[in-house]
Amino acid sequence: MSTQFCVFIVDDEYVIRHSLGLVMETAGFAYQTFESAEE
Amino acid sequence: MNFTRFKTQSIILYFDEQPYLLRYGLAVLAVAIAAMATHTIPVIGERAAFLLFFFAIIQTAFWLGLNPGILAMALSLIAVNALVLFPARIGPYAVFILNAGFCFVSAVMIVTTNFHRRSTAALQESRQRYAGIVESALDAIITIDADQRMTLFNAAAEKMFGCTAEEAIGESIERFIPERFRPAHDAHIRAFGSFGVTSRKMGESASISGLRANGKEFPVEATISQCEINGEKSFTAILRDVTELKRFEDSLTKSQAQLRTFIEQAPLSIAMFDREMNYLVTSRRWIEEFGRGYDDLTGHNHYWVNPDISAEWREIHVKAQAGEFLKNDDDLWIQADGSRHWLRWAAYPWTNQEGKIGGIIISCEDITARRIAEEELRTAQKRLTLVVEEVKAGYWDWDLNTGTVYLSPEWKRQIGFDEDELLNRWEEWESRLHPDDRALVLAATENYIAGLLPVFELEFRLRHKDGLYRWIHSRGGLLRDPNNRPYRMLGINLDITDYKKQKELRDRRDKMEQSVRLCVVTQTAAAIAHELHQPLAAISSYSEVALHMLRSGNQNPEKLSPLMEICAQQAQRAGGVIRQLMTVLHKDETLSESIDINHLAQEALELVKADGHLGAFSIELNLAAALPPIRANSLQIEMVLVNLLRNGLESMQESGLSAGTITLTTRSTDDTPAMVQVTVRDGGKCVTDIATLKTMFQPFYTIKPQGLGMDLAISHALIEAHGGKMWAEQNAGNGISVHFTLPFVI
Repeated sequence: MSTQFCVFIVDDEYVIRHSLGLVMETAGFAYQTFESAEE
Repeated sequence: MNFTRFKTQSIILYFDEQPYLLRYGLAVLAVAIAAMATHTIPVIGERAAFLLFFFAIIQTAFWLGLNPGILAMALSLIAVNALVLFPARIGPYAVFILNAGFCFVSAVMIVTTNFHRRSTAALQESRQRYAGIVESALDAIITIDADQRMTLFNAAAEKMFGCTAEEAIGESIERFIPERFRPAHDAHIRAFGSFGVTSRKMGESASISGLRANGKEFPVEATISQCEINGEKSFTAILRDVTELKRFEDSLTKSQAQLRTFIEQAPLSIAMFDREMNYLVTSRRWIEEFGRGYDDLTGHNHYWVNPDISAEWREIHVKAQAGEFLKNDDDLWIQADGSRHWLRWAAYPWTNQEGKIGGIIISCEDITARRIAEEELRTAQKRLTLVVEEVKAGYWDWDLNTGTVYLSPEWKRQIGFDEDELLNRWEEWESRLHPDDRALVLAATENYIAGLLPVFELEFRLRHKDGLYRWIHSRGGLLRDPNNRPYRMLGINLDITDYKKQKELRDRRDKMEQSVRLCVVTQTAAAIAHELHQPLAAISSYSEVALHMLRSGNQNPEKLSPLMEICAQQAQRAGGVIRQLMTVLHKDETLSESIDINHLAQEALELVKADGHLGAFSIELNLAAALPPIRANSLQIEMVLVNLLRNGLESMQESGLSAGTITLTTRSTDDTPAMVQVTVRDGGKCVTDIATLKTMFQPFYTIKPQGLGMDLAISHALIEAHGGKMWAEQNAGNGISVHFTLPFVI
């Protein structure tokens, strides 16, 4: 079993976070989105 | 004088001039001799004695005159009575008769002898007078006989022909006639002798010539006369050497011909009149100007030729004929057709050989053309002076031959000096040149004079009186002599120091503005990039996911649809960004006004010229007349025009051209009658690719080493914002033409 990676996506634009999240998901990566670094 | 022919007559005259005492003594002596002969010689008879006394009486009366003759008669009567009659012892009656007869015969002999003596003396006197006249005559007098041999040759003839009378007498007259005339002369003499005319002038039909002893010919005037004495004809010619007269006449004729030629060919109107105002001679110019159609006015009367002559001119003629010298150097003459002429004329008398007024001379010159030229010159000089004063131009004039220089007061004032503070010297200019400009300016001046530079136009710095330097713009020209050698150089100086400062400020301002514009454009571009990047990045991500799903067989519409919807939404968002940008660009629409596109074109031209980069390039305006106004923002359209002109100029310069023409055309076309079409045509780089002709209006498209490529894009956007279109075409030759349209005000 491969090591589970999680990609953090930070962007103030929702469509950017969402689209990139779908791309990560399609590539088999887990991801989490954040609107800002503080979040 | 030849006295040899008058010996007898001289003896008579000699005794005739003796004192009376001697003459009476001689009479007594003659009678005494006769008485002694009668008394001492027995063979002498009574009759012979009478003859002796008669001879004594005759000789006394003949030689000594009347009174000695009477004395001799009285003494002889006494002697006859004493020696002959008384010794003969004859009667008183016979004595009386013989005495009376003796007295009568003696008286008759005395009277006749004395009369003869007086006649002879008168003839001698006449001959002497004739000889005196002949010898003292200034004209040569030659008498020839029927054989044409000379019998008289006076002193004047000796002098004229260079031959003495002794040499000439007896010689043929032909020796003094040139050989070619001798046959004719002989025939003339014979004909003259046969006609019986006593005298006539020789050579009336042609000049005659004489031949000196030294062989030289000379012209003579001659009169010939003939007479016949004792059946022998003689001809006497009176000759006058007319060499000097002929020379004088030839000189006079030549002089008169020269004078006539001088008058006829004089470059002004001149006419000579007699006392009755008849033309004597006129110049051709007079014929042309006042001839009234005559080819030759000589002999015509001035008043017949000009019946309408004014009373003023008649009065001038009268005054001049009376001896006045009249003239007018600037006389306005209005012709019948109303044309105005200025004349310079003079009317004055001329005097004949007797010193009396023989008529008048009128000279006249039409100075209208000169007067107009002088007037125009004065006007031009006045204008030039006004312009030079108004533009504060310093005038300079350099005589290249003498090296002298004139510097106008304004020239001196430009560098802070009064007129009398600076001398008119070349050094005043040369010594004040800025060290950095000096070599360049002097070389340029020398090259221009040598013909190596086509124009003399320089900018240099001159040291002011305050020690600072003033920028001077100098332009000059050369005056050349007929051999094309320059002999003067003159020109004007303009103080452009203030202009230079303003230009420097303007250049700095332009650079600042350019920097600001660059900053704005950069920030704008960054903003646009940022605004567009997000939707484009989202579209890219969603479309990549959707593509992956389709390739992996996951074609679930429920999952794909949201993705595509989001792509559409993001694309619309990007479009919104563009629209916002256009909205910003459209903000100035409220500033639109009704403007003349041709006026904007001219202003744009001035702005481009002010850049100072035109050099040998030129911009030609081809503006349609009477175009309706357009509604636009003048600043924005002017900026478009300036952009297009600058782009054209840069394109030509980057093509390696050093000169060329950019044409800006405005017109109304049939295709778009409601719009003006403006075309900027250059001769620069060729753009044959149609795609490039379209791409060049897109933002950030550029082929220049520097620049953002926004000028054409902004221009394109501004034209479209005004409701027009902009496009580009490849020219038939080099370069491209950029067109745009704008709507006329309806």
